[in-house]
This record gives sequence, structure tokens and C-alpha cells, in this order.
Amino acid sequence: MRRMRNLLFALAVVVLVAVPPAFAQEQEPVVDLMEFIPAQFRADFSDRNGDGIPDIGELPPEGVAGIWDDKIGEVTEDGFLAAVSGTFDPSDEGSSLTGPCKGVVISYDADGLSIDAMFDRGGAEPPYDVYGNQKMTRSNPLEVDTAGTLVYYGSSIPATFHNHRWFISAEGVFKDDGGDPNPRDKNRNAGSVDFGDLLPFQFTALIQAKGAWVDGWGAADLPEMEVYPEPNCTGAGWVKFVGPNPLLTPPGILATLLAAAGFTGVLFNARPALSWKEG
Amino acid sequence: MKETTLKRHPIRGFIWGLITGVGVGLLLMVFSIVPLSIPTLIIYTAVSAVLGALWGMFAPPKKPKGARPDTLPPPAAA
Repeated sequence: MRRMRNLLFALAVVVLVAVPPAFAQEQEPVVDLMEFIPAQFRADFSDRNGDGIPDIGELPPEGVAGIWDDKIGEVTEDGFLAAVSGTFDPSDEGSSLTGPCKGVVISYDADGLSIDAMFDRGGAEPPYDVYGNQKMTRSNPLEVDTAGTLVYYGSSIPATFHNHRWFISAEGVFKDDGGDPNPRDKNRNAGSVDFGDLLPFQFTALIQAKGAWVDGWGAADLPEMEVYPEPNCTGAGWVKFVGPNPLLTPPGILATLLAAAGFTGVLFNARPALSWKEG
Repeated sequence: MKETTLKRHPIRGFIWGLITGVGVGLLLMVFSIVPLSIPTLIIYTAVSAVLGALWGMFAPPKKPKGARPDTLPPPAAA
């Protein structure tokens, strides 16, 4: 009787924990990112995993113009803003992107299925996800697959930066910087970052990132500052690198071994010991 | 008269605490419970090392191994 009672109690706990999330109402997207893909390529994209973000198939081979190249100019500044219109509530803290910069970032796994996406409309508003929630906050970080790809489209319209300098850094992980005189007056760009090629191994971690892009800075390195000269784009927020089971990644295996060895040593080798006196 | 001597191991505790701190800190970071941060990892390691040293100094001691010397049987007569 007691065993049956304990079994029923355990079953109730499992049901209470597992069932509600299964029935939790999924958010509906309020922004259609498909509008940023030129019409002639849309047939190659579809939302295969039902999260409201267009998924990709095989990436085009090197040398072939990608879908985010100059053809994106078919989507105008007004068209972009119209597609991401709406009133969102930046009630959460922890992310910002200020200045004329705006654009879209989509994160894909190694199979081309979308994991996450965010957009920014420029100005003082923070970035948002397609469900209307503030993005890159600690509770809603941008998820990036360490074996996947990140694709982005961005613009600084109406501004055009010349002799600009930029940096992007992630707490304790990496820092990158660059700049350009920009003689061709480019004010928009698109591209992709293949983390599967760049990273030596997969890992999982929550990281705080920040960056800045300053017009007219010149060739000198751009330091981290409280306030940058105008015009500029500055941003900060949270990124979550996702991958396989954390315990199966090299950092996870190392951490487990160190923790286990350490606990064993503390308990059995470091404890004071009594010994019999001689004589 | 004391029958036992107490040996404390603060240095061993410090070293094992150091290793435990690195391991636990990294585990918390790979599970995204705390953000990945070198200063945070250093703090976890330092705190754990200090706690390990204190454990090596003041933890309940292990009992002595073997029987008490005065309970051992006398050597056999020649």
C-alpha cells in the first residue's frame, strides 16, 4: 500500500513538471522575416520547423552570390520598417542598440533550420525577436548554434559612415575589430558567419557581448568608452551559444573531471587525520 | 597523555579546493547557469581554494588507522 502511494506521488510530480510545458501556448510571430528575402529566392526557403523564421537548405557554394548580397537592395528602407512595424514593450533590461543601425540577424543550426532571430529598427529602441519581445536580454538571449551559421543584413541608412572603426567583443571569449574608409559609400551590408568552420569545438555558454561602430574615427583602434562621438552605433546584450548536451562537449567533460577530482581530493586527501603516537 | 597526533592539511585542501572551484565554475558556465566570464571563474576558484584550506585545517579528523599500540599482543618470548 505504501509502495503504491509512493509510486502515485512520484507519478504526480512527473506529470506536474512535464505536462504544463507541453501545453504551454507557443507565441505567434508578429514579424514576417520572409519579406527580407528577395522574391526570386523565396521558393528556396520555408519555415520547416514552424517557428515563424525562414529556414535554409544547403548554403550556396563559394563564389556564388548569396541571397544577402546586393540583391537585398530590392527591399527598401521603408519596406524594411513597414515589415517590422508594431508597438513592442521593452520591459526587460539588459540589451540595447542605439544609433542609425538597423537590420536582421537569423541563427541557424548545422542543418539549416532556424534557431533564433532578431531585428532592430534603428534609433533608441532595443532589438526585438519575431514574437515582439525584447531580444538579447539575459532572460531572452540570442541563441547561436556553435555548429551552425549566423546570417545578417544591416544598414545605417540614412547615415553613411566613412573612415569608420568598429569592434565587437564577447566577455572572456573573443574580440574582433575593423574599419574602412568606405570610398564607395556603402551604407548596408549582408553576410554570414559559419561557426561550424570557425570554432574548434562545440560548447554551450551564456555570454555578454558589446560593440560599437563610429563614423570618422580613422585608422586607430577603437577603445571601449562610455560615450562615443556622433554619429555612432553602439550595442550590448546577451548571446547564448547552444550545442549538444553540455556534458558531452570538451569544456563540459573537462569541468566534470575537474569537479569530480576536486571533490574526491577534498573529502579523502585533504581532511585532517589522527595517527597513533609512537612509543 | 595523548595517544594520537593530529595532522592538518591546509595546503592539500587549498590545492584540491582550487581544482574543485575551476570544475564547478566551468560546470555552471557550460550549463548557462552563470554567464561565461573569466573574473567570475577566478572568484569561484579563489573562494573554493580558501574553503578547501579551511577544510584541511578544521574539518573533523579521520580516525587513526590500525589498532592502538598498547592493545597489540606482546612479542613472543625467546
